[in-house]
Amino acid sequence: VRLATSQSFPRTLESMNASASFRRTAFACLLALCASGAAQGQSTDGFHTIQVFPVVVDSDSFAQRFTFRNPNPTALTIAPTYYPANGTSQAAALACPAVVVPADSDVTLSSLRTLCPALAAGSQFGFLYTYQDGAANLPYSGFSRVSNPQGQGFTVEAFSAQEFTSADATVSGIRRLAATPSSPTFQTNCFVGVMNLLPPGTSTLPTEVYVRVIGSNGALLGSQQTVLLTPGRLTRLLDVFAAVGAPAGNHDNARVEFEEDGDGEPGILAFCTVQDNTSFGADFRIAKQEQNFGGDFGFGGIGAQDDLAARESWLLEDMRTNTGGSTYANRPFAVGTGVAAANTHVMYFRHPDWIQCELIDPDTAVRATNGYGLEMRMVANDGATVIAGGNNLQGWGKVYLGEKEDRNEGANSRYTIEVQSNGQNTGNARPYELHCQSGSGHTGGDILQYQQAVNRF
Amino acid sequence: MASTFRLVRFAALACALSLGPVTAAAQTTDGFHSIQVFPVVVDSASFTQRFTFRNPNTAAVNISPVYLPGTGTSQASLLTCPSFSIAAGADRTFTSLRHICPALAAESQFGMLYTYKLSTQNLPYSAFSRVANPQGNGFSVEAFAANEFTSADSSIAGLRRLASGPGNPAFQTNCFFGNMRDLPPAATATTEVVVSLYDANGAKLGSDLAVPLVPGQLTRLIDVFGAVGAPVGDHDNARMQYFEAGDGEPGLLAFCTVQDNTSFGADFRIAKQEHPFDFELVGPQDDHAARDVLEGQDAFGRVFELGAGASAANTHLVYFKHPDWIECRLLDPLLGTPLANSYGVEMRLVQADTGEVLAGGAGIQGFTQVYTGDKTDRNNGANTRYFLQVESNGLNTGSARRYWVQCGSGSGHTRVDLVAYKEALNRF
Repeated sequence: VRLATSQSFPRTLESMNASASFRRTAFACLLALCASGAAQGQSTDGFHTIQVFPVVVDSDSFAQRFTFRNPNPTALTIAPTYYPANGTSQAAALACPAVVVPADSDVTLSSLRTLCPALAAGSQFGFLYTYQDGAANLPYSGFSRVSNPQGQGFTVEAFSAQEFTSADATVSGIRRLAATPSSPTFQTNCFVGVMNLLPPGTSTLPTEVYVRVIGSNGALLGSQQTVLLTPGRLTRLLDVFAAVGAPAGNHDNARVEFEEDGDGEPGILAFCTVQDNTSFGADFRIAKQEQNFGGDFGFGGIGAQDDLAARESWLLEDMRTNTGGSTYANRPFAVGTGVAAANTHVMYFRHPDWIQCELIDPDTAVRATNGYGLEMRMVANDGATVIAGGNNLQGWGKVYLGEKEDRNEGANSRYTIEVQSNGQNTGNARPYELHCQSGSGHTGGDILQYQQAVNRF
Repeated sequence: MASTFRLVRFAALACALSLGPVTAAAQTTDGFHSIQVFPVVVDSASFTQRFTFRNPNTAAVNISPVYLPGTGTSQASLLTCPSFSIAAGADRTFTSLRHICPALAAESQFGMLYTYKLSTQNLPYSAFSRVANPQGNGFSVEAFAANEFTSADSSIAGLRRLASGPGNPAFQTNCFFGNMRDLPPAATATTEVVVSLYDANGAKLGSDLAVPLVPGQLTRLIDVFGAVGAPVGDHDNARMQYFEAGDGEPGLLAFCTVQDNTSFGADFRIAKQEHPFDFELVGPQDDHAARDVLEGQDAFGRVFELGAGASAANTHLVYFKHPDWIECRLLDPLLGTPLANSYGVEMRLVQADTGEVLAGGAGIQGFTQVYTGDKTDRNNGANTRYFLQVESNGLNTGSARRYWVQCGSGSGHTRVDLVAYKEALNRF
C-alpha cells in the first residue's frame, strides 16, 4: 500500500473505489507521502503576522480544513503561498488568493484547494506560508485539521516563521519495528525543508542538512546523509532508517539529528512522523532546536538559536553604541575603583523558571572572588524586590523566580542586575564577564546605566 | 470481530478522555526547558502512554515528576513520583505513566504531569509522549514549558457539535481547564475562569459559565456546547473564549478536543493567549513577546525626553524577532498622537551588532511595516536586539521635549528600555 513516489499516488487513488478499505489505504498512502502524522500544536503564544503550516495536503479522499482567527478590532487580509514538496506535480510556489477575516472573527476554509484554487490537479503536499498583508500590525492564528469524510485524520497548527532556525535539531523516540502478535509494524519518515525567503530572490543559495540517526545505545546507525535544500522546498526521507542505511531489523528509541551546514543560517523546517502500518495511525514530531550556532551571547549552547531565549549567556561588553557619525564602540563591562561605582544590566527572564548568574573574572575565567572588588544582586521589575545576590556576593546558583502569580501580574518580565564595587578595589577598574543561565531562556544583559557613581547595597 | 473489539476499546479510551479524546499536542521548536508540563496524561487497562525524555547536556540530569489528577478520578491528590536520571547526551523512555508513577491509584486515571529538573546545574531537557493501544492507535502529547501558561484571555476557534449525517460522523467538543500547581505548594488560592462560546457569526451561545479551578487540578467540560447551555442542534466553526476572574494572574492551562463519535478520532487544540491584561491588546501575557508596547519612561522611571538644540539623543533597546514585520513611532505624551517634525525629535532603527539602519532617519518620527528580514539576513539566524535612536532634529529651540514610544510587531518584542540617556550627540 505504501507508494514510493507521489506521482503514482493520484493514479492509484483514481483506480480504486470508495470502499472503507480504500479510504483506509488512501489515508495510509497520504501519511507516507506527506508524513503529516496525527497532530501537532504549537505554543500558547499563537498570534503572529506570519504563520507557517509545516505540512498541507489535498487529495481525493482527504481535505484539510483551515481556521484562521482574527482577534483584532479591524479586518485583516491574509496572503497564502503554497510551497510544494519535491516529487509532487505542482512545479513551483503558488501565490493563492487573499483571505479576508473580519474583525474579531474566524474564517474557515474547507480545503487546501479552496484556499488555493490554482493548485495542480491530483494529490499534493507541501508547506503553506501565510502572512498578514497590510499596513497595520494585526496578528492572527492558524489551525487546520486533515480528515476524510468519516472524520479520521490529524491536526496541523501553524508556527510563526521565526521559530525555524539553523540550530542543530533532534527528534527523539523514533522507531522501526516489525509486527508481532501483539504490536503493529512501526515506520518513521522524516521531512526537512528550508523556509522560503521574502521577498523572493534575496538569497536562493542551496544549503545542506546532515541527517544522522542515533540508536538507543548512542551509536550512529548507518551513515550520515546529506540533503541538499533550496529555499521554499520540503524533502521527504521515507523510512529514515533505510535512508541512512541502518542495519536491517528493528530499531527502537532512536534519535534523528539534523545539522545545517551551509552559509547564512537559514530557517530549517524539520519533523518526523512515526506511523504504525496496521492502523496507519501516526504522530507528528517537530524537531527541537538543541544546540545553537548563532547569536551574540549563547553560541554553541543548548537551546534555541534565539537571543531572546538563550539558556546560557556570556557577555563581556554590550552592543555597539553609535556615538556619532559612523563611529561605533562597544562598552566593556567594568566598574571603577572606590566605593561608589556601579553598572546596571537589564535581563528578561521567564517564570516559573530557575536561573543563575555570576561575575567572571576575565583573567581567571572563573567566578570572581570577593577580593576582586565586585558584588552583584538581581532586582525584580518593581525596582525594590531583591531576588538574589547582595553585599559581597559575586553570583548565585539556581534561584526560583516563582509562579505566574508571584511576579509582574503573571507576565514574563524584565529584571535588573546591579553590579558594583564592594569597596575592596583600590587599584584599577575591574572588568568582568556576566554569565547567566536559565531553564527557559533569557536575553543578553545589556547595560541601562553605565559606570554610575553610586553605592546601592 | 477483533478490529471491532479494538474500536470499542479505543472508544473506551476516548470516553475516558472525555476524559479527553485528545489526539495530540506538540509545542514549539524551542523545546528544551527545566520545567516541562504534559497537559494531559493517561493510564488505563487498554492504553499506555509512552514517554521519551531527551537530555542534550554533557552532564546527567535528574528529573522529578509530579502527577496532578483530573477531577473526578480516583487519585485523590497529587502524587510525587520517583525521580529519575538521564545520562549525558542520552534519551530515556518510559513505557507507561504507571512506570513513571508506580503509586498511581488503580483503575483508569487521567490528569497532568508536571516534571522539573532537580540538579543544581542548569540542564534543560525535552519531553514527548505517545498514547497508544497495543495496535498502535493513539495520539501524541508533547510537553510545554511551564511559563507558557498564563492568565491571558484565551480562545480556541473552529469548534463543532454536529449530528452524524450521510457524509459525516457526529462531532463533539470537550474542553479542559487546569490551574498550574504552585512550587512549593504553599499558595493554594482557588481561582475561576469564565467560559463563553460564540457561534460562527459571533453571537453568544448559551450563557457564560464560571469554572472554579484549584491549583494543580484539571477540570473537564464534556460537550462544551451542552455545558454552556447552547441551543440544541448543530454548531459549526464556533469559538470558546475564557477569561480569568480571580486575583493574582496564575498560570492557567486550557485545551479543547474535537472528537468524532464514529471512529473516535480527535484532535487537541491548545488555547491561545489572545488578550493580555487589556482587551485592547493582542498576544500573550509576556513582556518578552508583546505585540504592542507604549512607554514613556524606563525601568528606573527615567522619562523619555530630549533637551533643546541639535545634540541631544537617547538610545533605546528592543529585542525583535525575524522574520517579522515591525513598526515604531513617537507620540505626543499629552495628546497621544504621532509627533510632527516641528516638535523637534526624530528617530531611526538600527541593528545593534552591525549598525545597519533599518528604518527611520533624519526628520522621521515613525515607520510602519518594516520587514526585519529572513533568518539568513541577520545575526547568524538568531533573533536579536535593535537600537531605537531618538534625537533632536534641531528644530526645537525651546524647552525639553518629552515623547512616548509605541512599537508593534507580529511575533512579539520586549519593552522599550533605555541604554543611553540624554547624550550630547547628533548621529543622523
